[in-house]
Amino acid sequence: MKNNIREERLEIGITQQALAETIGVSRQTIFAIETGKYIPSAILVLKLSRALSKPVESLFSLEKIDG
Amino acid sequence: MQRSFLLPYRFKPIGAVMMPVGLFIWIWSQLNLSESKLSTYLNGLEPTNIHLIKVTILTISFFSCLLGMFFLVFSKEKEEDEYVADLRLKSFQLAAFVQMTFFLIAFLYMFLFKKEPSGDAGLELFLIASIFLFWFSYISCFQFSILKNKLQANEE
Repeated sequence: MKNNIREERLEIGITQQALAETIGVSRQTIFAIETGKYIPSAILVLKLSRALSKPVESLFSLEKIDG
Repeated sequence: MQRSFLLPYRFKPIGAVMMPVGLFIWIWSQLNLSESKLSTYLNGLEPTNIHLIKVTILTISFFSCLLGMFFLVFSKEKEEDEYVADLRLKSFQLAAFVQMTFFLIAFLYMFLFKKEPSGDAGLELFLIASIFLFWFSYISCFQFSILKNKLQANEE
């Protein structure tokens, strides 16, 4: 699963730290999500969607290997 | 959210000190602390008391190592979230894999070369080593993953 959290975050001009504080995780977790090292849970996905004011589908998309 | 039964973060630094210190003293005492050496340091004590002192040192150091390991493994990170929980799970899986591989190789070696741990002490040592191997693999893998991600995130 790929995501464009970084692009959306930079578009609204907030830092990883600010986003992490908004959704209640560490900055390292935001970094891991943005770099694709970690696929967040549904709860975190919904929180990210709310924090970035974007629908889930525009933040995350399936890749070929996801089936 | 899942409820966590982990200890507060303040136990982690305590464990990080207790475990290596306890382990070092235990290994050092096993290798170097003989009762004859102790009797020269503690002149005039009965041999039974000297034996008791050695056993006490070994017991305290071993249990402080175990307790330190417990604190290290079962205490929260400074910022505990689902990513850390995921790393914890992956580290447990790796530790289980390492221990199972160790068992397989060890038993295969014993079977092929007809070499079994000699006596109760040998068997005890073998089992302690396999338990420690599991927890050491877990701690190293978990701490390495956390540190690696932290460093990469800070590089940005």
